[in-house]
Amino acid sequence: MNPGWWRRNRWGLLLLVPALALALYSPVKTGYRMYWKAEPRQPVSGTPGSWVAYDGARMRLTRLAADTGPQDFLGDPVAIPAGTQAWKATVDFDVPHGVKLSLCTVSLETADGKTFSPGPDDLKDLDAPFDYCTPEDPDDKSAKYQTVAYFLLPREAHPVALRVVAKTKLPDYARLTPP
Amino acid sequence: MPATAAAVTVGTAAWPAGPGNPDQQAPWPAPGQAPPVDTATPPDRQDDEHRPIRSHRRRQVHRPIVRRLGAAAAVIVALAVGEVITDHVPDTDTQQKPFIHTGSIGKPVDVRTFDASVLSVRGAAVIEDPDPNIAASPTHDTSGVWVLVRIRLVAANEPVAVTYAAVQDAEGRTYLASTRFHQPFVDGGRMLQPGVPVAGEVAFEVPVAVVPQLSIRLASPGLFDDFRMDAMADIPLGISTGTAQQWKATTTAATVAPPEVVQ
Repeated sequence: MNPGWWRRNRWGLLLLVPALALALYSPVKTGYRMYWKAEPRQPVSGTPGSWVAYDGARMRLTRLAADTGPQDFLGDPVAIPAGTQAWKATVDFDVPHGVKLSLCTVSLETADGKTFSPGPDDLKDLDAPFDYCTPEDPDDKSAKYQTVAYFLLPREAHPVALRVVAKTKLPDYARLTPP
Repeated sequence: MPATAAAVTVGTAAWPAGPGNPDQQAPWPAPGQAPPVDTATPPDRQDDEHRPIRSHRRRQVHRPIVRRLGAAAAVIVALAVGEVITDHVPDTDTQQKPFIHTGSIGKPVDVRTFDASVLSVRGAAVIEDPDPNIAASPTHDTSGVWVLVRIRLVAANEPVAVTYAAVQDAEGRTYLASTRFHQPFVDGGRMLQPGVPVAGEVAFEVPVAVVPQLSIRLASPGLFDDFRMDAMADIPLGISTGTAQQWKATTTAATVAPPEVVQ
């Protein structure tokens, strides 16, 4: 390959750079978007206990406290495993008519960044709702309603916020802090 | 008619008289004679007219054959090198296989999203169904032996379900946790919470002969059973042949310990 080859093909070589960039742009962008939107990464939050607008609705964490006497459906006490602590989160929702919070999950965030799912297996007999973002009564059509969620944490863990995640709104999620 | 003063007729067309007229060209010199001197073309143009056409300038008979043979040889060498590279580079399954974290009984193994440890191992010839009210049979026997491994699992930073539990023998044969009855610890029904250790037993049905070589493997491959490039625990169970024979000879049905929170 002599120097003349580079001179004869200089325009093709120069055009190769933007051509490669264009060819790689779409798959890289798609892959990055899939990675970025796969997890809740961007919190939507407000002041402690205040309303937070998310997924077309408003929501707030009205109470987050350790539950020392959880009960089952029959009103009998539920045993809490040694070394753990049950926590109860109460959330207010204000959902405009026509808006439905679907594919919604909640999790409890502790001070060290760990997250916990609601309704743990060791509290499965607890009197807890099946859905945490819709009214317990499916016939309840009111715009404002309240739900509760129970969590089981190590006794030394310190919860700081409740996360509400709508799959269709990822990577955004509502980060509700207690008043 | 003087040759230099008038046109020369060739066929029906008249060739203008002058230096280019073929009839007026000097004859090619015989061997040994000097070529004729062009007196009509100015001296500074004579070199240009005798220069070969660009595409013909380097025409040589032997060079294209050498070049073509060289190019063919280069292609063959490239293909051979590619084949050698392909043969020596691990295939996709090997490249993306899980990262095996080996441990020993009693010591926790970091499996990225959770920690796993083997607490104890026992065996039996018959096992009781944990859900006798809904099971077709209250007990389950086997032509091999039941190996019950008591494990302790702790999620790391977020809830996780350990849905892959298997034992592997020395030849790489894998025996999944039995599905002959409900095993909530490893069938996806048990979600582990960070920092909350859960212990329980998992039952495997294996031939007696492979028991001394078994190691347990635990992973959390997610909803789509995707093990690629993720961590997997591998803990040898260290069972002797005599112990396996004793288990096979027992007649008392063993009960699989359900998962429960431990400290």
